Amino acid sequence: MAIHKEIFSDEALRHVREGSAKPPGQLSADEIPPMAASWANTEKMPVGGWKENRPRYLRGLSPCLAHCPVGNDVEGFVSTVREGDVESAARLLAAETPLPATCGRVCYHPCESGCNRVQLDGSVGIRAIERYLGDLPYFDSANIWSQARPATGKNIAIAGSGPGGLASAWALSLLGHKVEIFERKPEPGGLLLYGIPAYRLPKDILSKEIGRIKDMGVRINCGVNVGEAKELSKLLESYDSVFVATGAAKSRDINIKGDNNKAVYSAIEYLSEATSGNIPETGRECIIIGGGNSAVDAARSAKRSGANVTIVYRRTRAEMPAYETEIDDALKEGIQLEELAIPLELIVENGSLTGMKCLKTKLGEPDDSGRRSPIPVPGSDFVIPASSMINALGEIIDKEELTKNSDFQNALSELNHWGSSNIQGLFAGGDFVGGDRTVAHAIGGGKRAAMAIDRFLLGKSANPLESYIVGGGPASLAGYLKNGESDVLAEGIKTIQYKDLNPAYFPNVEREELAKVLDQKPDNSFREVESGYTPEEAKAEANRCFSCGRCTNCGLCQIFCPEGAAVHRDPQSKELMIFDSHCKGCGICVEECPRCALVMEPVNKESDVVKTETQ
Amino acid sequence: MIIREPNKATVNILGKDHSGPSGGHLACQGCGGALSLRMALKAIGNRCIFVIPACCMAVIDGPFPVSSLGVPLMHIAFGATAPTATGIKAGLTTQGDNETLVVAWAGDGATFDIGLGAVSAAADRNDDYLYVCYDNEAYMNTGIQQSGATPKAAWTTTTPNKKPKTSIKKDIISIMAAHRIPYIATASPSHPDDFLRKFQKAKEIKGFRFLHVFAPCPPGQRFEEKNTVKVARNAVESRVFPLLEIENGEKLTLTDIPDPIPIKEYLELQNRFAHFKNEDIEAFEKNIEKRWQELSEWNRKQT
Repeated sequence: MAIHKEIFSDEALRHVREGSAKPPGQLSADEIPPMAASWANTEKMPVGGWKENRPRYLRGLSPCLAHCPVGNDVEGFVSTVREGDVESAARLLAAETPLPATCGRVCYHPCESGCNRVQLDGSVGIRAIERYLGDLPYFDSANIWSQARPATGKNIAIAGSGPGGLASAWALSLLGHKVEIFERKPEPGGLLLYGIPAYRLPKDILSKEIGRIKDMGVRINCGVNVGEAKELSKLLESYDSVFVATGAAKSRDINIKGDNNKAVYSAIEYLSEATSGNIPETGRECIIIGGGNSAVDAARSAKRSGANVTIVYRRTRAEMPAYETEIDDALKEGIQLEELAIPLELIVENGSLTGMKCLKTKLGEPDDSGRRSPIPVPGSDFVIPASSMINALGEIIDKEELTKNSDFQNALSELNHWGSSNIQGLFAGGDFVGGDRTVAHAIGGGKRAAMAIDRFLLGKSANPLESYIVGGGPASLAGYLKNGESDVLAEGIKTIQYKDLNPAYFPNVEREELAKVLDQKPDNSFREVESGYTPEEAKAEANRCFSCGRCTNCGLCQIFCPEGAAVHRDPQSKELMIFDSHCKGCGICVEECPRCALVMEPVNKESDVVKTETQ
Repeated sequence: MIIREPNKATVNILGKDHSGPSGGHLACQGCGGALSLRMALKAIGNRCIFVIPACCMAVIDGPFPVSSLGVPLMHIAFGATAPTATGIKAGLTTQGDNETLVVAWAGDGATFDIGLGAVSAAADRNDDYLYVCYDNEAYMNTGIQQSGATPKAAWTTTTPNKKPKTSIKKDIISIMAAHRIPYIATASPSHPDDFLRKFQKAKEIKGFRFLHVFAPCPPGQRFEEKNTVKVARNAVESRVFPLLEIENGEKLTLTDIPDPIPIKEYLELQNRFAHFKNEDIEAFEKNIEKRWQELSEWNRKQT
């Protein structure tokens, strides 16, 4: 800026530019400018000392992360899709799960129940976004993963090739161990292949997912029944560790008259046969007993083979443990639901099933499960026609089939959260260990066990395994690989709730549902019911994500700071920071942040000396 | 339709860009005026000269010999904002400088009350500069005395609850529109996209341009500092402060037609309305609704 020398003397200029130690009254005549003018800026004014509270950028935890049993960085991959970088999104997803296309189809998505958007206009369609990513070509080969560590020379045997076994094998491979899986069925996949009908999880999708894990060097030996051909104790001798994930594959007996008829099947047996291509004969009227997911799966499979299907359940629809959407779809497909009925006996004429006698029930007080218990109503018996019956009362774990050794049986009954038993080198996970029986929980259990096995094998005295738990929920493999250096594993990280967000920035946007074809003709078609997102739909849905607790660089704190102190990323550390010497602690940035990525903290006057910084 | 998160261009200009007033100024915590000035200066750029009368902003800019603004700024007596800007513009024109923008930046006291005659004269002459009134609805700098911009019955130190203000907020927009000046607009810092667009548009127009900016004041309007933007947003969303622009005093456009939130959500944030009973809220709402209907009618007629 040009300054007129004739107006301002050098002394006066020095004075106005640099300030003077002398009070104005002591200035000599040529030191006093003819007109008071300020030439210095206010940057050195220590106004930051006014504050009692200071804002700080602090990563919070999106509830979806803590709710995902697998440990997926849900907010991470969803927001990366929103930013348009699907490849990075796919890599983020791949860092925590080996089976995205599978989970993207069959997971019951607890992440969506945890999603804060539920309280506005419905959760983000996370499962569908995962499916979209899992179907992308990045997942065509094992190249999506890179070996985290060189080969360790350790060998691990895994019993069972369901989601638990596969996830554990994948994680252990990434960690550099050699893995061999033993599967008693002729093909790998366990429940994914033999329990979930192809209309929900097409076989080619599953075989692609398993193929990718094989390509990592995992050997899968099919037709080998651990327990018969290979005793667990023998396995433990020839391998450095053994992981048991043989699932819960034994049907609970129904024990009614006539249950030995040839037209009576267990759901496991029925679904397994159906998968193999030879659907068991059900005749015109097929009855399913039970209210869980295998009941609905069996019902919808039987419907596809042309039968009239009725599900008989002792409570009402509201108490059915099967997933809501699955029940909806089943009813839309024309399946009948006979609520409040228990089977009494099967009516057999000349060796063939003709009907089932049932008793009505009414709902009484809640039982241990919190659901109202069914009470039989005397004399209310009635008969429904039946040409076949499928028992879907549930599955139980059969430890005896696995090992006759009672030490092993006991060890496998007393496992810790990480699947470790009190026998050195013996671990277990998946449905086999009880708890929530879902694909996602099995994958999560497989991952946890892999970390525990790794720690056991390498004898690392590093961080305790608990430090890899995200928000009190699942364990993060990516975090484990980075020795815990992950934002979401920060100590004391707060899970963000809806009330922490600023709803002013989130207008209602309707959720993008996946298209379904439910009017299946009875033509034996196990064609997939649901179709996935287009790239546009995936992006639109990802756009609904709040990114709870994570700074997305939206810039609102920068726009709204009256001091210009809300600044951004430090060029060196890439950390988010605020100019403390200018920040007066008004808290607008914290209040306005749409996603609660900042917090307000009291200033400790004694230890915090406000430093003068310049921009 | 409202896009609540500002678009990328707005973020780059109003947020990421480090130009604009320097930090360390003397505004109170959460000052809506300092925030508006900061956003405005970023929107119009550095090629400008400011004229500021006695008001909060005269203090905020900094004590001698420092100044936060980073552009030439003339401090001037209370009622003299408009003629001083006229003089500076004339001086620049004489020197052949047609690029530099002259900005008169005055509070509601200096615009609605004390300087109104001078503002009217400058508007009448259609002097070529940008006049911005940042409105915190009272003489906040001198101790929260009521001004012509104070809403009816709102608490100030000169209108205590026992003796409330009886007149409604002066309709400055209609007064200015009556001068048929080329551009009038209202803006709120809570709506950055709209704010940026209006300042950039005003910058390019020749003649007398009048921008009325809503600038919530935490100590004067009695609310928590952190709620400044929320108060401004709720003022717009409850239609208390409609966002509009008027071209040539005739063509009015409502630039944001909110699905209105209850007026209570605006009032209850501020303790200057804490004494409002239900009938006061209803009376307040009635005035707001009437004004909105008038503006909507005007808007409809023109488009």
